[in-house]
Amino acid sequence: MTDQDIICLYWDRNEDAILETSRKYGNYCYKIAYNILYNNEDSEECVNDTYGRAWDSMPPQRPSLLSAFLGKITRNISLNRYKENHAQKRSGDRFAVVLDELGELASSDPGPEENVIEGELTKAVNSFLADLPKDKRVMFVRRYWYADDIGSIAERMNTSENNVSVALRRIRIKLQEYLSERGFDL
Amino acid sequence: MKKEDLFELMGNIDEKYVVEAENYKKAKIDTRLFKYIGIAASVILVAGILMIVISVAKSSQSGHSSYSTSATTTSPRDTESTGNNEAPDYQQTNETEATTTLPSREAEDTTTTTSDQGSDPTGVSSGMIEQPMIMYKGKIYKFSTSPLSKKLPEGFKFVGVIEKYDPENIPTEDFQATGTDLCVGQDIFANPKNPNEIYVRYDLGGDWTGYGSFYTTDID
Repeated sequence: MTDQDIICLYWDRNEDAILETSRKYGNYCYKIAYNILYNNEDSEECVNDTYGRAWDSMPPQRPSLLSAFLGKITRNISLNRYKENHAQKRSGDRFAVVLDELGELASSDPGPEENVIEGELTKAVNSFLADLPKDKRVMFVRRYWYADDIGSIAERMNTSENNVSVALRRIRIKLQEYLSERGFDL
Repeated sequence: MKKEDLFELMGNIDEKYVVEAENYKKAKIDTRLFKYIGIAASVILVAGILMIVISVAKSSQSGHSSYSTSATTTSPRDTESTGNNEAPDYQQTNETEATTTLPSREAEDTTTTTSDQGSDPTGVSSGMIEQPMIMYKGKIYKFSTSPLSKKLPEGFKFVGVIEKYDPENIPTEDFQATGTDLCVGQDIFANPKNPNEIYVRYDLGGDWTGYGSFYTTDID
């Protein structure tokens, strides 16, 4: 079934939409959730929540890329679950490493968050990604969007984990400089 | 900005990059291909080297064979016993013509060497003695490195001819010879005042003639 057919089911309020979404994107969403939570039960719950959120969103939304749309919902739900789970304690899990890496982008003396306009920042990041070579961009997105571990990225890119780590570090430094030059004080 | 917020912000990047990253799979280079290319290159290299070696060996053999044939049929041998590789000169008896150099062959130090294969690098057949030797007055005289003399040196007189020729055995009696380019009937000349040297006359056919020097190391 095509993405458009599935979206039509949502719009028709046909409950098969959930079934077809699960068939086609269940594993995809689960992987995203698991990359953040590292817990089967939590990940499955987040995936189920994703279906519910999608059901609530369509209509009125009609996503052009259903996979990215669902993945983004899963990602946000999982991140919130992660925050809940880790509100009381500092975790040393793998996802924490991803966050720590992103934390390098933040200034040591951050200014008022109100100064950062989220929409503008997203545009700048998109612009930065557009200028990256494709393989570097994929590495970055796999790491900081999908929260993939270094090993699976290395396997996907057919290179060593060390190469991936080094490449990601260079991209982060470049991104920090790029954003800093454009006045974004993270 | 908190790092969680940054992660959340990364979630807003263009969806096309998200899909691109999902579908991206770098094609693996089939390393087996390199292995096969390496093997093929090695085989070609080895084959090439073998061809060169065979070619060199053949040309070397062919060079010696042609020399050997001509030497045994038309010219005296010029094998050197001291390791000197200079080609001896053979001069025409006709005074009006310049000296002519015959093909050279590699020197051989040993006097009793026989080939233990079908043919050695000089083209001598298996079991044959290569070094020319003659027994005279109970001494073995070996061919010297000197080129053939056009004239017989003073004091040397005819003492007899080669009576026996055995290519496979070292001479054991007077006027017996062995080695290449000698044959029954060749004249032998000796000088009583110089008992360490004798001369053998070579008839090369046509106008070619020469006197080959033979030395003995046997001391009275």
